[in-house]
Amino acid sequence: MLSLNDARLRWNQIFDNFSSASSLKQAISEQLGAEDPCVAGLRSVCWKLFILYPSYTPQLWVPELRVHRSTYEALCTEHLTLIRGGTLGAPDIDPLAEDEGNPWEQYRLDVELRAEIMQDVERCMPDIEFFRQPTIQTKLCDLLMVYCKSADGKSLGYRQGLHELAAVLLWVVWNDAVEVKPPEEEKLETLDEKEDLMEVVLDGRFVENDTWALFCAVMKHAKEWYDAGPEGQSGCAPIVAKSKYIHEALLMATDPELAMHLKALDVLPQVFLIRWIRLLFSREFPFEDLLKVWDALFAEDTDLHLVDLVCVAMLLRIRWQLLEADYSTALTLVLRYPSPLDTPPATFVEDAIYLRDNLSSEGGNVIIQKYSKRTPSVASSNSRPTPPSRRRFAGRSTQQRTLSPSKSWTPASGIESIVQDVAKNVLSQSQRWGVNRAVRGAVEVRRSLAPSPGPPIPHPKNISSEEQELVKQNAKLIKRIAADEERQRTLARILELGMQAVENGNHAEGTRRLSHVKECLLDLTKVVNRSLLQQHVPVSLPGSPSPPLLSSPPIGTDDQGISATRTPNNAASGRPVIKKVAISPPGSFVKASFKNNSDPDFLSRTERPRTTLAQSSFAWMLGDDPAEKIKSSFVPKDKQGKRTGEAAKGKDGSMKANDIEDDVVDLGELGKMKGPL
Amino acid sequence: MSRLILAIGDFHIPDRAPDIPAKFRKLLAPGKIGQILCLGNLTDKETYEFLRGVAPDIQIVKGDFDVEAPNLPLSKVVTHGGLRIGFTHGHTIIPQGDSDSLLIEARRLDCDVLLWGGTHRFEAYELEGKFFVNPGSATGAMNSGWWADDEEPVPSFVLMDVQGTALVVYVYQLRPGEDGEKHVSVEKITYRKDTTGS
Repeated sequence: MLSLNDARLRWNQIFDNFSSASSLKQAISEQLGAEDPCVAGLRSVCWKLFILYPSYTPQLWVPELRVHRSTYEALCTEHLTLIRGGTLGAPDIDPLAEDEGNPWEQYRLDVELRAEIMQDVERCMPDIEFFRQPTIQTKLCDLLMVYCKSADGKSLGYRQGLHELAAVLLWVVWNDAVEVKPPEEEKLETLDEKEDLMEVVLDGRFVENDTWALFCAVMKHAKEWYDAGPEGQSGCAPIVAKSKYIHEALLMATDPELAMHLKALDVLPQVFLIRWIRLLFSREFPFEDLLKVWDALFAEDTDLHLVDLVCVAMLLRIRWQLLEADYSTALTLVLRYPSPLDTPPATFVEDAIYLRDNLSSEGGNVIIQKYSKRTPSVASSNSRPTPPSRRRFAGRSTQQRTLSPSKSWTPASGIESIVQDVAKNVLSQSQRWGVNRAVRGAVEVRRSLAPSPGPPIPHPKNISSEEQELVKQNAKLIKRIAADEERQRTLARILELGMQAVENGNHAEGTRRLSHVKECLLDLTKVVNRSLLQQHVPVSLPGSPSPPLLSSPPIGTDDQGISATRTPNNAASGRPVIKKVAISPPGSFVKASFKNNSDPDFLSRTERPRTTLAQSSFAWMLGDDPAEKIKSSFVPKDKQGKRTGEAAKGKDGSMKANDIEDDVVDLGELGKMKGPL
Repeated sequence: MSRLILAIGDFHIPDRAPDIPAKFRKLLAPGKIGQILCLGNLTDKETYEFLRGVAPDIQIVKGDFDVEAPNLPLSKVVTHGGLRIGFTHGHTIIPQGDSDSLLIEARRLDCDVLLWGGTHRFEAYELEGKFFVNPGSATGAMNSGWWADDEEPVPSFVLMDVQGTALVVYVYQLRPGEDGEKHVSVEKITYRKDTTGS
């Protein structure tokens, strides 16, 4: 609340210095600091001007203001009388009757609604004292309730988040309001002087009414963000589509590298954009800064379309951090948006306006450069399909990739995208099949077998037979790997031929080959079409080194080869193969061992007192069906494996239980990471 | 929370009545009622659980047959809006159901509205600015007393809605209709506290 004199000063600040709404908007976009009409003047008046009453002269919009206020009054009596303890419209009604039109039934729903709203209002902006006052909370609750029950918001109902939007508006209107002595009716009717006008506009008795009017105006455009979409299909909500649009169209256009990176990390845009947009960034910035953002936003665009680009601008600001981030770091970054220290958040709106006019990667570069003094290298993103930081998460993105056609991503470069896809796929296959895990498992078995001769071994026979079994399977697997390598080589050749065809201008031929390779890689059981090898295009000799494209991610080729023959049905082929260590490329092995080290179970194993074989970590080998058990623990992703593992846990010692639990926990974490997406 | 207050008592289950009438049970759905004032003779735990389901806020006074709950108070007072509502089973008021004795009890409790039970007969009247309501028995259990020939206790309870200093009482009674079936009849009585006097 302002004193009358202060309010008058501020009022004049606006209406003396600015002759029109456009000049006011201009002043706000220039960010004058203390001179800002929203700071020195009256923010609520500015907002009302921008959102509610486009005509600048107060004389013209005061009648409209009156209409708003009386409308709210009427709605209050319509919707709040019951809940405020007033009498019912139709008094002779059995309160317990279960009719549709029973006002008591309505009352019961109102009570529930109010409880729901009040719960949110009570914990809204906990660090601002203003919102802890019961009178303010009641006001907020009332106006939200009226909105939810009036024609505007009836289809929407109450949604969490509405209260935060309303809270900011209420705060602004309340702060600018003046205490007015109840004037005589006549005086209200004959208003021409500016001063009196001001008292009417800022009348403290109508804070709630004015806030409601502002809220309704904002909600006109914000409503669709809260719309849950068709019943039962949460994925179809407009906000999700909007998030996708921001990510795949806007961000893609301004900063393809960042967009691809987020996509590769599988940070779904709606995870953070829902909050950014629904609350109009009120959780992302400190309160004072937030008001400035809203100033700029309302001044520029009352339809709030600019919000999309503000989101893009915010992402561009933390671009470099995001590019270096892995999944969880990236999520933390976007969910706890680092508040910019040197530049006020209102600059995001400025950037958004710039992007609106320059929606291209050049425009994006300008923004990036403006704040980081670094220019993204556009070319590098294409030549390196998976930079190291991405590799870790490639596995997670494959599933989505196979489901959604990659064409939707970069429709412009068809062949390029196929090539990229192939390379990525090769990499991610190894992750998906858990080859590394199998290798690590094999190594561990070896390791724990080696020192065991020390203490008495209860069942040496079992061990030796076990080893024989391992060797046998080893041979089998090596054979399979050889076959896979052969298949791989064939594919490589087809790929090379395809590339040549493309180079020679024979696009149809080239694309056919490339897509065949892609299909083969995606579907491991697919038979390679050898007819594609015989072509008039000069063919390289068999046995020649694989073409450069495939050799660039050598990790993938091998792993791919292993997994190529493996379908979910014969997943058992991921059996311990000690030799595989040699086959496995350096990169992935290093990673596996790194993971191994971080495994607490592994660390503690060395310190553990030596136990009998029955209690050792590989005691499951001694079970009824050893081969079955091996299978299960080496391919932990396999459901069957999990089941046998758990069953075995019950039978055998605690150590083994530990091991299996670790695997299960691992799985759980994987699931969790995918969970919110 | 709903602002409706349910006053109900004298169940006498299972000694004198098998259960709350099904039609009453149907009416008393959970979520409709804010507070229950139970006027005693609840007698069994199942009924208590049922009432708890209707509304978690339940205030009970002791009736002469609530032998298993010796610690219940004999009378209680709750405040709603501008009204103090006292309630008691009334077996300690002698002569039972006598209006002058009830007036003394109402003054003792300093309440504007006194609810009492024990007689299994619905009553509501105003006396010296105070309002007296007996919701009767929820099950229509038989009771000693002066009953006319072929007159039987009628199952009944009351629902109260406080609006400031006014009290609207809805009386629910299960009366036999012309077709022989029993029907729930609802009546409304309004009491307004006289705030102009002393």
